[in-house]
Amino acid sequence: MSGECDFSALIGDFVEDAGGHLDAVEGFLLELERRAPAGCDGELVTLIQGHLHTLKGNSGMMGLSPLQQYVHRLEEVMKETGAGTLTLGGALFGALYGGINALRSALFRFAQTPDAGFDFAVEEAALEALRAAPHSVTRASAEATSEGTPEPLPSRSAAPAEFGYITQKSSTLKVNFEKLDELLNLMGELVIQRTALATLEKRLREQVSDRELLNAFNETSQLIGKSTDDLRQSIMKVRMLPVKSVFQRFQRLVRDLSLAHGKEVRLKLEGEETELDKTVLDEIGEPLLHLIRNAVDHGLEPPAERRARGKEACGTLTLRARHESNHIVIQVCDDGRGMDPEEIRKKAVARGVLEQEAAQAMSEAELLQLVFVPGFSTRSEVTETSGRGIGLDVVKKIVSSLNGIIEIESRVGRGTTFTMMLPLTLAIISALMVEVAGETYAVPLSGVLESVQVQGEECHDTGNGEVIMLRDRVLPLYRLDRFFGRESGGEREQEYVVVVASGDKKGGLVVDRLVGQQEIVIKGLDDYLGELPGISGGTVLGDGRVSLIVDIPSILGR
Amino acid sequence: MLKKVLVVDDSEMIHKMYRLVLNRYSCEILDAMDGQQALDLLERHQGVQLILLDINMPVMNGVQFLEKAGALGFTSRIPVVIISTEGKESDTIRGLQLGAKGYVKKPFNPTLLHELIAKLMLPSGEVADFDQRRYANTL
Repeated sequence: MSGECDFSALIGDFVEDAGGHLDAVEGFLLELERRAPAGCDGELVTLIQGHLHTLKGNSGMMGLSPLQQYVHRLEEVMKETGAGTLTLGGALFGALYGGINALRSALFRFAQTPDAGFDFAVEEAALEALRAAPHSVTRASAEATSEGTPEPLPSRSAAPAEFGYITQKSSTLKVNFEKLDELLNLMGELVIQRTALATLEKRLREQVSDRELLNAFNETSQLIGKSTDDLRQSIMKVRMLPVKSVFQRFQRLVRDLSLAHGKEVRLKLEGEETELDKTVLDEIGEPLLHLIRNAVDHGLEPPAERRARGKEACGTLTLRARHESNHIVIQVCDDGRGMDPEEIRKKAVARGVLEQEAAQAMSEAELLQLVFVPGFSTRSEVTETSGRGIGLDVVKKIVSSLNGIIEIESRVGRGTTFTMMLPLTLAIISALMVEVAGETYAVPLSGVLESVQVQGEECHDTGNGEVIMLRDRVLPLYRLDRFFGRESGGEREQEYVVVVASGDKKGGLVVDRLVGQQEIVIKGLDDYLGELPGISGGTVLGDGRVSLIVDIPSILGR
Repeated sequence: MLKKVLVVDDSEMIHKMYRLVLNRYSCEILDAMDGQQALDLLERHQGVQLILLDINMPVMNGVQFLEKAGALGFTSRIPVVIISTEGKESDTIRGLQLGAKGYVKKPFNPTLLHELIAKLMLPSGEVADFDQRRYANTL
């Protein structure tokens, strides 16, 4: 029944889900039996029918028609029970419990050997027996012993083995993601308190002379610190899923796209086992989708063109994931035609994105960045899948919103690689704490490239904002004190500049002092504050003060 | 062609299956476990192009959803396909009267759903003819 769609990947989910429905049905049946002396509780019957109905539908979708049919029979029996045609009694409940047990063991077998098939002949016979003599059911079962019923119903002789599921151990546990979020939130509080402990220790050292006590305190504080770290890592691990689940989805897309475009493409996955926090995993699907569409559509050449260039007719598209220090690196790499900076330069001028002179002055790396500009594309024709470069600026936007960086590397005739660097999680981040006009701000470390100290005279005012030259590249400066309207007094001889990047933009944030690196827990700001330019959230420092988190994209976007 | 679909079904399992079935469109899928959640999602999300609707659901069933969504003007803009296990056929008929564009019986063959989607997504959309034929076959 499942047609050309393969649901075999869902077998595990299905068995688990079905088990849940059976547990629910059993629970309601027990309740129904308990209340039976007072009559048939229609509500319970409806609840049972609901679960059976869903299970029936799901079984059908999985292509398991014997299962579907048997559950359908159970559903009919419940319908008749609700209508009063079948009497609530030992035989009825016996048959139903027996049916649930049979379904449980059948599902268990199915999970082990999906091809084994199902057989509910005995159980169906038991249900038939009920329906054949509906009104004698209660009496028959009540007086079963005295009347010496010739054939005991199969369900009543349930062998101990049928209850194996009770003691069966499961190694997995399904938990609502919100509960994990709550756990991480509490963890965040602990991280904050640990920092408070360290601050306290510093003060104690200044005021208490009892070395022994201090050392004992220090030791305990260190142990708490270590346990906190371990705990945090364990919690983070629980939230991690292999990137495979997202990567796999693209196999089909690449196949369909390459067929549609008359191209031959092989999708290679590397580092699929790399684990990502679920919050990040949920977000990377869309940027990847755009990058892959772009690669198949623009990057890879048709087979004939590839052959003519001495390449293999089938192009290779590689999706790669790996951890790198505090980041996750995800790459989309093709061995296609690559991007020609000269072509981009011409297009940029032709489209009016750049003035002729500005275009001439741009380096090749800078020219490549232009593909992230809305409405820019290196191919002039519009295609259904990639459109006119609509995708790439969306990619940049999403990556920036995740506090990530995207880089592009391309060689003409050799291919293009897009590299996304994303934070490990969106809940706790490493931040560089800086001081501006007496306030401490947190700059997400994922966006920080380096910090440099420059002489006051190295800052040049171009009339269109200040810049410095950093290793032969012009870096625009943003004075945070001015940005936040908190002037901290004249320019100094030496300035601290935190070099940050967002998407493809780079800039230098001028701050008064670098405080240090620290892990912070992101707390959203309430909606009523509206949009705050330059601020993405807040965090609580060890001493209880609130520190605002600098929103790099919005500062660089100005 | 298909960019955003709203799936309304009270079974998590079915949502997972739709993810596989709809994989080929690479579309965004919004999941609602009942009619009320579906209405909430419609309020918050622009650009939903298709609603796949189960009938039998707690809180707000498919028929009630169609009544509310119709009154709010959603169903005149967004085609609804009822995808429901056989059972209360009267509900399905009521659903079609309330403006659902098609009906597919669960368990369905994904090919059938793809055909229906292809027809619904055509700008001309000869849906009425299509679903009535299906409907006659399945009832």
